[in-house]
Amino acid sequence: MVNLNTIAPKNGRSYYIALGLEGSANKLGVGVIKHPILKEQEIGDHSHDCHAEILSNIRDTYTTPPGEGFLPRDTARHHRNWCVRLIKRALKEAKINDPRLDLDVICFTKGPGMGAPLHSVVIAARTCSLLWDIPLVRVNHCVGHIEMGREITKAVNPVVLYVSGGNTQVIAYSENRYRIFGETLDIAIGNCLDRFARTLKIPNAPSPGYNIEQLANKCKNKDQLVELPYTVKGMDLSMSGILAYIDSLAKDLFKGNKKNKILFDTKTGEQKVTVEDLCYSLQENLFAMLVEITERAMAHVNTSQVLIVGGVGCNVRLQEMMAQMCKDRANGQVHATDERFCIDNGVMIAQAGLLQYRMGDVVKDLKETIVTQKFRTDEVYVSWRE
Amino acid sequence: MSQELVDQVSKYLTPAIPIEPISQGAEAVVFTTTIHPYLPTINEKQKFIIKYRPAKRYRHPIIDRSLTKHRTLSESRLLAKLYQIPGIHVPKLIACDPYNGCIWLEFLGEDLPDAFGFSNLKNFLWMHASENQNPYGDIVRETLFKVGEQIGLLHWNDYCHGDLTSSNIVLVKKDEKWEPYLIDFGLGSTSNLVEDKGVDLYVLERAILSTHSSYAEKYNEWLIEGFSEVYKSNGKQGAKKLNEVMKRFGEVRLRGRKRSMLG
Amino acid sequence: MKNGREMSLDYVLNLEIPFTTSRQAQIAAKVLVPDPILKPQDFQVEYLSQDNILAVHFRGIDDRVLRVGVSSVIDSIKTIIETIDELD
Repeated sequence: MVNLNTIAPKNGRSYYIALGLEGSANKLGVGVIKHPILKEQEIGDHSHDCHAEILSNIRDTYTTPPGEGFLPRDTARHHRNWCVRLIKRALKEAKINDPRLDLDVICFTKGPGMGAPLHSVVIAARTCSLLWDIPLVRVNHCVGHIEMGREITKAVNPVVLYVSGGNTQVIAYSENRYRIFGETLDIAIGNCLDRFARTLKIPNAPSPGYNIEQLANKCKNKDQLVELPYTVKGMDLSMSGILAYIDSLAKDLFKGNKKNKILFDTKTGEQKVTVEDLCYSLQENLFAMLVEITERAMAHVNTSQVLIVGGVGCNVRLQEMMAQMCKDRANGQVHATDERFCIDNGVMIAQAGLLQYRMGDVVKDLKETIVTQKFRTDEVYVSWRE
Repeated sequence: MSQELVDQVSKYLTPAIPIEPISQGAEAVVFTTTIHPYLPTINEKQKFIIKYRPAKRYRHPIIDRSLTKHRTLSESRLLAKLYQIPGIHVPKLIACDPYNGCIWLEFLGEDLPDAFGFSNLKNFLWMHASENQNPYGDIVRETLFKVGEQIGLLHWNDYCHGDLTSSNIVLVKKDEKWEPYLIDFGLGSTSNLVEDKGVDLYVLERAILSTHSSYAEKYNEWLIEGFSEVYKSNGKQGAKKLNEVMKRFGEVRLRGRKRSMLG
Repeated sequence: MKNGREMSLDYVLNLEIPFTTSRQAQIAAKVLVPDPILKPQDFQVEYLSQDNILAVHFRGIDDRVLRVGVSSVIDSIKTIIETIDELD
């Protein structure tokens, strides 16, 4: 039976406090979270309901100019420049005066993600741990998203759709693992949207996906669609073909290539398809694929709850489609969080890390803190659930 | 299954065709009916399967229409082709309406004795694992061997099922023996890739392991015996191909269904 | 390895970084040690703390490799120093 209260909080306190550091992609996040000790957590799985209090949640995004993506080197430099400042601000906002006394644990992202940015954050994490003599916990980024989503929405055992710039996975829990039921065979959905946005020089602030969503909303003829490949393969999906195709359309549109029959009337030269139309069609097509594989996983594990996490999870249209599917399918429910928790942040690392810490999983040798670009969700032993 | 869905299907089929829902997957719902779509009723007990792909309201109508049509057609084509291959057992395709996402199939199987339910492989194995039964009896061994043969034939002819589980294999009784039939080719495809075949075998192995854990080792061994038999009966080339498939199957088993990839 | 012969790491640089206390120098060494070198046959680093000094010994097969390696270690050291300065 799961008992989350085996490790006592520091200094006889009745609560735990964890610092979380995240920097696996272009967002640098630092957060502080507090868990009270709850009696019911001694006798079973209450990991989705920790009564977590978010003491601070600070993020700084490395934004590149329109048409440019973020490179590992530059992103790592951004994180190095801001990391210590963000930690200071997060501690201050959380009213942590002396981290040596007030913090139980420091949690950091071990992976998956971009190597250089991950590394620049772990250096700060290790230094803080040694300076303050506080244990470290290494967190899988994807598990961080899942645990934060569960805590915020109180979804007990949902099928999880994890959609971000680097990941596209459908996940369900079984026997102490978050098992991957379906995933992308090539590029992630966020990556697909980002690269499409780059071709059309759609701004990267606040995020390319958000701007695509706004443009799609402005689409004037929603009963028409630009036909795109639909590439669901069983439980998995593929998006590189779709990107290549819509990217070529986007390039022709951007250059005003009148020979393209899909975009222009060949006789009059009149433009038939707008940027807004392309954004709308791309979203409709990609999201239909995501909802379909999620539904497959739901049928497999026989649940009616879905939790959407990851940056693309903020998309209102995706949430709408998922809600419709859940409703049609045995009156299910969809759970999603807003941008504070959907987009990469430090609090989620603290949440998952604190659960691990309370189950006794801490770093014993700094060698264990080496970051890794590849780190599958199902590699983590989920000790905090039944 | 929601009443709304049943009503929707009834409306499309008209009240002249009574339906009985039997299962709901992610993509399709399955009913039985006693009416043949175009032949007169021969006897009152005849039964047919109707597989219906309902419209999905969450997706754009244009995408929905195109997918429904495409998938209904490709599943029908696959079934029609497989039905003609000597030795392969699949249900006979009776009718297909791609625009409405509807397929009629021959009904296969029967109810097992002692309330063990419908005669798919899953219930059959559970029945033989129950009290006073021998989970390792000759009948079980023989049946699993034949299931292996069916999958062997499928793969040898370069087709893949895509979703092999013990409930997607129906047993039909003939002269006191059970003949396995493969059903539900919703994820099926033609493929000559060893990867697809390896994954097919792995998915089935996992399915046996999770639903019949105590006897899974022997069961999987018998399945593979039957599978291998088909390849071996095709001479040197068969043996070579078998080797390739089994090697990949081993690799897939080591890494899991999914390829390792960048986060 | 080149032409079957072991290449020697002849390009060498030694850095000595003074910290305020010996504890800080020790911490810096501990933070830096765990990370593996991607191509140990081309580049190697050793970290040592003596009193308040962090001594770093770099060896590489050519100037370029040495430069790249040194620069990345210095980046990390800058983060460590900033962390110590601001958060100790």
